[in-house]
Amino acid sequence: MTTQLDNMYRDLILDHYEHPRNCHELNHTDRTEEGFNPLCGDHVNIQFEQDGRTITDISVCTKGCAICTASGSIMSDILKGLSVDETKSMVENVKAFLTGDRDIDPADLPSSLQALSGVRKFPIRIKCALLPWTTAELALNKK
Amino acid sequence: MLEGVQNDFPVLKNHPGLAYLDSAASTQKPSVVLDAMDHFYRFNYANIHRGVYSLSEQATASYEAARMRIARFIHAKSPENLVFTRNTTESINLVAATIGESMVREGDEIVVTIMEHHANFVPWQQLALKKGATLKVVGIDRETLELDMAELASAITDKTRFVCCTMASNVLGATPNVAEVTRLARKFGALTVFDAAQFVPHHPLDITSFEPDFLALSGHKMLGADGFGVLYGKSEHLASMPPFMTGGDMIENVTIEKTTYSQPPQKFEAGTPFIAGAISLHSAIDYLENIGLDRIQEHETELARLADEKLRAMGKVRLYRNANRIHNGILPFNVEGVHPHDVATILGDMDICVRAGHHCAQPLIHFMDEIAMIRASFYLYNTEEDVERLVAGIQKTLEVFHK
Ligand SMILES: Cc1ncc(COP(=O)(O)O)c(C=O)c1O
Repeated sequence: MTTQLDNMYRDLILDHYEHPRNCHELNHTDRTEEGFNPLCGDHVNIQFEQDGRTITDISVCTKGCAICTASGSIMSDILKGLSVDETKSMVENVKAFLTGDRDIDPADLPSSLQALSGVRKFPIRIKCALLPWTTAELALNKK
Repeated sequence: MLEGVQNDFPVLKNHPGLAYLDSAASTQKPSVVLDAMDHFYRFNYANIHRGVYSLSEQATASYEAARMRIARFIHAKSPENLVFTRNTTESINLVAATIGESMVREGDEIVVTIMEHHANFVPWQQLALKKGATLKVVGIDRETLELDMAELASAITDKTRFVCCTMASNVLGATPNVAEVTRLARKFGALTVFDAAQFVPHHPLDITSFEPDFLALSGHKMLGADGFGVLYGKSEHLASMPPFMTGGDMIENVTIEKTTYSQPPQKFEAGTPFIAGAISLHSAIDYLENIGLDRIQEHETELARLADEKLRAMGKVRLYRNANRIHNGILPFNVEGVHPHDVATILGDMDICVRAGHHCAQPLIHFMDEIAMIRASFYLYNTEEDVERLVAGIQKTLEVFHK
């Protein structure tokens, strides 16, 4: 097995896969969105609870592969407490980081996200890692 | 077991150490097929049915010889029963868009099975939606994983216009009793549409034994080029059906006011076709029959059975198949606690090619309460070594995921 693979399936990823965080009921749901990856059948449901422009709680429920599930779980920890605008720019940065579309200094990103960097060596798996983020973006762009 | 077949396949020679276990998605091509296409392009190429010069006549003759060869392969009455398309998907869409359009009315019924590939499901679902017809989906027996014939029998009524059924499931490998399917359909005057894409790579096919109204296949799943498919249709249907696409090659006479069409099959072959594709399938059929489909079946079944035994013995692998039967070299499974996409990535990293996902058969995967599955499919060029590699790959997967 290659080290690239070792890099992708790090313990932190496996831990988030086995024990995904923040799939739970919210007091109230202000935004919600579903995302699908037709290639492998990944499915994610994201809900946001807001107080004004601040995200006070988030639920991310994933049925999917380790990469998608871990990515969603890590995302849920990161986004809680941010404002809607901060969240949007975070999502932008993470997308650029994973796809390599734009140079992002990893130091500018939450450290838990570093665990996802291994996916960049597996182009067709980048979609898996992106799904929760693009779904969150869709939810946030809803009126 | 077949020996030495691997040497006929350049891709396998060019990738030593590769375990190609995805032939149900598409097969590799033997040298004879590649040579036939190459020879055509180097020595005989011209457009067909057009030029009066000898090169075009030769090309036309090769194209029509392929039609005769494929007709003989499936025991069609005449080559004129065969329409050349791009693939199974296009063949079925052709039927749905022509005779399907003209026959199905509001309140009618179309019967499909839960085992269908999306290619034989979505066109009928869409036609039903468009026409206000009902799509009836016949299930499988959860124990045997075979088509539920009793359910099929009760689903077909005098409102049924089409019964659309696979001849071999691309997920389970199961092969429904097509003679019984046609008998039930005919009792109510319904037309049958069979998807033979996964059947013909493994079995001799004699359509006189069940007389389908329509049958579709793809060349690329049986050693031919990708982008070439076939639709078989009974003469009476092909004669009365409206054209699918219009334009060049399918006309008899065009004036500014109107157009009359050629006779079938040309009526359904608008535009320059994939001529070399037809030639490739001709050559592939020769190659397959030369080895013998029975021997191929024996070979692939033995490998799949060996893999089945070894994976089962690991304890953490769930195999989706009737305990007594393995069909068409297809082995669907999941590894406990690991998503199939992750399994396939780890296997892929070890040069083991399997399919993971819903296999373009989402209704079936949901019916089986799964989201996705892994499919290893064996064909004539696979070896026991490929089985060993697969088993080692699954072992590695269990290690990575600490299972
Ligand atoms: C049973 C079955 N039907 C139809 C198809 C579609 O074939 P094609 O993609 O060549 O149209 C496939 C292959 O993917 C298949 O396995």
